Amino acid sequence: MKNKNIKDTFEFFAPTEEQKRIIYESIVNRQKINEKRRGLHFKAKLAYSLIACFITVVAAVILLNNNWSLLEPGNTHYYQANKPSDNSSLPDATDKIFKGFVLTAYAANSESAYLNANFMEEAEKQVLKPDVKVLLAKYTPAMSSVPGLPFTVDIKKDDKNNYYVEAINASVDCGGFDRWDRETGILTSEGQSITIDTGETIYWSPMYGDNAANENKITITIKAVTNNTVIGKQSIYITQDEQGYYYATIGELGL
Amino acid sequence: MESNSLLRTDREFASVYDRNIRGVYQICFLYLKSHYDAEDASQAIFEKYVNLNKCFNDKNQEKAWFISVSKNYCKDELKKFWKKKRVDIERIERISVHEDTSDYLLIDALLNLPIKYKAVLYLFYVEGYSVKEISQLLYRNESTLRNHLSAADY
Repeated sequence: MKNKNIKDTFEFFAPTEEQKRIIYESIVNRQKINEKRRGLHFKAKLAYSLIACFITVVAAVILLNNNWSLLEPGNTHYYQANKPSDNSSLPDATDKIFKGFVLTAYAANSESAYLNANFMEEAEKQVLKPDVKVLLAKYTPAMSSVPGLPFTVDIKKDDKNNYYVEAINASVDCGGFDRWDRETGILTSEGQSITIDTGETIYWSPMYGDNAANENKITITIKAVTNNTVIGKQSIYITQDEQGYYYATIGELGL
Repeated sequence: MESNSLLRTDREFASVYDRNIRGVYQICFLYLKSHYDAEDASQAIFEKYVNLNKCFNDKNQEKAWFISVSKNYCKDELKKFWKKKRVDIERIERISVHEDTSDYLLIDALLNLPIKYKAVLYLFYVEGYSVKEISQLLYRNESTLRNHLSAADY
């Protein structure tokens, strides 16, 4: 191929004036459209930003309103959590107070029934309640085969947050306590105060050395202790009528 | 050429367009073998120029930019599936109308040259660049370019 031919041939590929004009106008029109789109795009971005801000503000207002309502005194949940000085209102404290004792006495089936060594199986177990007198099984040191009037001391159990009781102390103003192992028969005199386990049975004897019970009303004080602090206290009152029958009742739970 | 363009300045773009449209169109036609494709490609290339955030030191640099961008744009277009799987109507028309003319033979020969020869031929024969200048523009070896020109001549 000759140079001139090649160069002339390329003229075949050259654009006409009409084609140049068409291309130019296409470029200009496209740029106008792009400018409009840029403007719209900016406006759309601005609109989206404003909508996002609005939603954020509304959400914040709603959340704050919900929190404020919890702060009102009527709402005990949050109110309680924010009054640490009032221990009884703390959710944890409420669940962990001492629930009370379960004091069991052994009542007589009949007035003439004497307390014997099989009292656990034969006597009627009675959980003592305040202001309710229970006729205890008849007891005299000479006629009974137990060392004293039995009382079983236990604590009320709760599945949730049961307050841990380290020890139970019992004390009496007259007479004394005995600890008796029914299986071995070993009897231990404990005096006027005794530390017992939950569920243990103590025996109060009116005939106790120099401290024989002469009063008509004997008070046994039962205390629950944790960390050297009394967390609950209740009293068993034993009375005896003129016929020599013993009755038992308890007072209210206190500290 | 009067224009209502919103670009750099209307007059500035119009003068750049006038200087380069012919070369851009010829390169696009050489590669794409179609007037319609060449028009679309030319439009796209000048839009790239409009959005280019850069100024040229002189007109030679400007021309080199247009040549390079045109070549690369056309090569990218040829890789597309659509371009591979179709026959130009214009080519069919040329076959039917100009089959027995020598002009047709030369045009067809140019259009059917391998891609690597096309830009070299255009720059050498139409723009009048030397082999050295072409090697700088296309980033190719001078001896390779001489071989391409010889092969194309043959």
